[in-house]
Amino acid sequence: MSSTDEELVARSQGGDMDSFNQLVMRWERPIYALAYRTIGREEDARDVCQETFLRAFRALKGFKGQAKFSSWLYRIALNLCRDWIRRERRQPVAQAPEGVDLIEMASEAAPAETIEDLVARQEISRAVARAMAALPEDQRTAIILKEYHGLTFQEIADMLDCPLSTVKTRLYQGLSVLRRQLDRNGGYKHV
Amino acid sequence: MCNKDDLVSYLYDDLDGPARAGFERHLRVCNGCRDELQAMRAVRADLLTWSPPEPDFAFRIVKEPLAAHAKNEPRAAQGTVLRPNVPSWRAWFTPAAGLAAAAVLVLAAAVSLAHVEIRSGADGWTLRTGWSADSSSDFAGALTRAGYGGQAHDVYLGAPVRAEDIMVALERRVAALETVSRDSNVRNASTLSARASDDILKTVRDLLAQSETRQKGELALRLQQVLRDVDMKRAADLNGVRQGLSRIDASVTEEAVAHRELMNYIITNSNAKQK
Repeated sequence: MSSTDEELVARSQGGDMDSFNQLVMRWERPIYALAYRTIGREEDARDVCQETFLRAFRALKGFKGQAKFSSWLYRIALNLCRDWIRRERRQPVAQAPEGVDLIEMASEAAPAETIEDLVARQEISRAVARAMAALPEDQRTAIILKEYHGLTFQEIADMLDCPLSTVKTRLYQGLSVLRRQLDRNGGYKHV
Repeated sequence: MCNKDDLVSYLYDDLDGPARAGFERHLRVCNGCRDELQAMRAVRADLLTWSPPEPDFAFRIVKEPLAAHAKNEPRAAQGTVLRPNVPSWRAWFTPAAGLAAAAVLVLAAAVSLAHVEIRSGADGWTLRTGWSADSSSDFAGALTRAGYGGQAHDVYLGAPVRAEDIMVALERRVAALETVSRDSNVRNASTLSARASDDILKTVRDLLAQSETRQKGELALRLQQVLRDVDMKRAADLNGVRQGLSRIDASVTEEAVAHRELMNYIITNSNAKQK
């Protein structure tokens, strides 16, 4: 039976390095995905991911469990992403997912999916990456946390220190911009 | 009056009870919101196609003396470092690798005790295990005196030497050593050597047990990770299905509204004609 985050955190606070490394293994993918979608660079996202866990480890003694451990990690990672964006003084890069090629997508595709479908899906994926990179940071963050990490409106509001209605407004504005962008890029033909 | 907060909440299935019913009533009469909702559902479906590349995670947090840090490694206070699992000699020098190295050393010692000889001759390769009578080793001498020496087990091999045969011979030899170490008569003759043999065997068993425990732990972690990935994928699929159903639902609602409008039009016209 696997330990909960809270149990692993408690053991880590007691100096058990293995427990903390279990937390790293458990959360490294979501944190990396968050960083990648926020800043758009694979290498830098990996650095942010490492730095997030290092900072979490250093600050672990001070973590009192007011929030979920994952929310705490997300907050650290988002702060690091913000630092990165400010330091680099630029918008995130619309980096087409390097590791996702047609062959790889084909292996994950449903049996009924044709090669044309795969190509279309890849095109849409690229268009989404470009459109997301063009969004203002606050809208992009709200969309990432909601769409890809399944956080509730309240969790996002707590994490971003803003009212709940602001989260909904950012989501609405962000999705509206994406809708226009994807429409213009021809990346969306459902309507 | 169109409420965009409600639209977003409805989009993410976060409206319940009267609020949901109220917004659905609004949707039936507001083409703008209906179109917007449908378009945003399509955007959400598109967002699902964007996934990050598969990362190559290769770091774990370890503690070691500050002096041991390399210059280019991320460093934290109190000797905490992020240790990349790159194939450098330092990266290999983990407790697990240390255990494995110790196990290899112990096995090598066991092999040397078993006195394996491999010779080539006119009739091919010869593998000899056991101590021959002319051995000058004290340990071998003790075994010989105990009635074990001289019973060398020969395996004649045609080239190339088969690894399986070597392993079988070694296993047989280790089992024999174990028997010897248990034999009290032998203990009289070679107490120290037998004790050393016992210790080695015990150490090997301990090392194997530790290694097995560690591997089980790692396997459990990996399994847990795979299960989490599968869960996330399933959640994403369910989300897609739910969005598809909502889209169908919206289009059915739209058609129903159109039918109702058409019926109203026909009834109004027929009433007008009757008048």
